[in-house]
Amino acid sequence: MAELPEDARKLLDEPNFADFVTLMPDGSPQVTPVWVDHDGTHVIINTAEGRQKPRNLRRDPRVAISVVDRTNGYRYLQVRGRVVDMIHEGAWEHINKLARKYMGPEARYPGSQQETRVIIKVLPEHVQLFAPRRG
Amino acid sequence: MGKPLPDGAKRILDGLNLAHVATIMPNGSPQVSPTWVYRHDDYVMISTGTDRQKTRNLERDPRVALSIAPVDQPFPPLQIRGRVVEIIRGEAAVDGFVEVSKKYGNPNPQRPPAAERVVYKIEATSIVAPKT
Repeated sequence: MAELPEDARKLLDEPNFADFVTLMPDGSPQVTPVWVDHDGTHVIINTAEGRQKPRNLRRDPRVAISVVDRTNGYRYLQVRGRVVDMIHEGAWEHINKLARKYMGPEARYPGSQQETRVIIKVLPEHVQLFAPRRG
Repeated sequence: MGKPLPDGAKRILDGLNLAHVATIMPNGSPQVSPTWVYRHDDYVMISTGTDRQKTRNLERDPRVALSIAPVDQPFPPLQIRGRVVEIIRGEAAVDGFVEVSKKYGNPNPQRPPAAERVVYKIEATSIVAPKT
């Protein structure tokens, strides 16, 4: 595994979107913008059952993630790794936590309340952080 | 066969947005990096350096995906899956670098050595995009 350095965790703490890649059945890539979280070790995504992402991940856990500072396109993080856990318990509380992070302190997840949400934990294996040189 | 890009896809591709371009590593795992893009008709164009991981990946496996969530209006995002149908090298690739640099705000980019640049022309086989 690879560590998430402090600057990477900081980028993940800010309300920047992640672009999350999974592998289709034929091995080709699929990528979607998602909200993102971390626990210090794992990069954490939250999606819904029935979508392409969880189907792909149960067949092949290899993923890639990029996160760009929404205010500075030259500051970004690239992670390659694998999914080590997919969890239903607490996933609704978690998506509402992300709604507050991305939409504001009073926000709730605006999509269908009928979805079965799932927390996806990614263990990084390769981490690269890019940042402009400070002058 | 490639698909025509709907107006919503063209609008997002023509905007000053960063695309996230996913390619396949030699062991079959995915890789993704933020990338400038531009558009020629129904093709997504990527100008990049010949020393990049995505370049090595695309030379071996033309399958590619990209997503764009514009910072000012992230929903609904653009998602495209497709493949490289043409690899443009030499001075034509430098022209692509100049075109994309101008698009993203450098009116007078310096021309890099042709050996350092490559442009990938990508046709879309699957598109999720806003209608307009």
